[in-house]
Amino acid sequence: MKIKIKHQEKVRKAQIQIQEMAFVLVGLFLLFAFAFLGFAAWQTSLMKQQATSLRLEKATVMINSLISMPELACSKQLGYCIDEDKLVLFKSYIDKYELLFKSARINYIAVKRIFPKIEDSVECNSDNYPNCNLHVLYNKQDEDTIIHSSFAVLCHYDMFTGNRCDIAEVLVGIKPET
Amino acid sequence: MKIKNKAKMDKSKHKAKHTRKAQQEIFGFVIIVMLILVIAVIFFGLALQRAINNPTYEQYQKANDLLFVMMHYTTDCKNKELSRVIELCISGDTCKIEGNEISACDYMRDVFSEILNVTLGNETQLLNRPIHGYWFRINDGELLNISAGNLSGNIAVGYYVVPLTEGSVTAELWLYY
Repeated sequence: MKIKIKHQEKVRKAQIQIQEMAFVLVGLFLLFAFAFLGFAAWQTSLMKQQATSLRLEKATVMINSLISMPELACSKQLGYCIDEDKLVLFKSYIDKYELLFKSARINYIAVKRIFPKIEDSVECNSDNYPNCNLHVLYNKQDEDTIIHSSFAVLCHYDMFTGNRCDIAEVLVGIKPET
Repeated sequence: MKIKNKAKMDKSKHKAKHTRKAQQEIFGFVIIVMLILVIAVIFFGLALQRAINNPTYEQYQKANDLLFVMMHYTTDCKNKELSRVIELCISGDTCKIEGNEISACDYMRDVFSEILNVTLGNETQLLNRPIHGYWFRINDGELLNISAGNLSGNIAVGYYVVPLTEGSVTAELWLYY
């Protein structure tokens, strides 16, 4: 009888110990699971930041390439300079570059003179040039388009003052990759 | 009687031993939990620190672009570029603007201030955040030192070396966003 009771006590003790072990293991598992979830969330936000940064970098490079095109760039000046006279002519044969813009996912290109400031936005055409401030070269933007901008010098030849350069903003609309 | 007491004492000793062991196990479990919590707190603290934005290519590019375009803007001062007006300022020259003679340095300050106020309006952004302040200086502030807005937060800096007939000066533009 005594031996039986002792044996039963031993079994109960063992069962309790196994139960304790199971609780400890479950608790540890939950802790590690939460830690892993937190790490995964942090990594995801880091990747999103990097994606945004890369997208902006790509857009800046694209704008600089556009400004440096010989069809638009100033002949004498190096750097971010657009020849406004070339720009006006470029509009007439921009459709030949449609394939290039599509492959680069560009669906909007405009050059806006921002200094000296003109209050109203006046789109340039052959009648009002150079007394205008907005050249829209290409416009096929949709709701997904993200507009990126960069500063550039906008120069044109004035018969009284010679070469005159103003400050402009180059606006490029890019469709993000899905 | 003695045997009964001894049995009772053995039983209570046994119980105390059990209780002590259980307490030790709980204590061990609590230590593990605390260690994991401490590691997690350190981990998230480091993650939060790294989340502070470091300047990137696009941020510097905007400041450098703006400096470049400002320096090549054609002014009404003898139809010279703004970078040439800096040279006029150094030589103590004047500008004739709408029939009035004004100091080249004063004209230079006015034009730079006007350009920065117009170009860095609410629409200009860096990393989808509006620029809320700027600090612009030429030659460490000796020639020109202008600032506006809230000069705190993240900074993007641009530099431009203005070549002169003799030597050069450096222009710095600090954009706060």
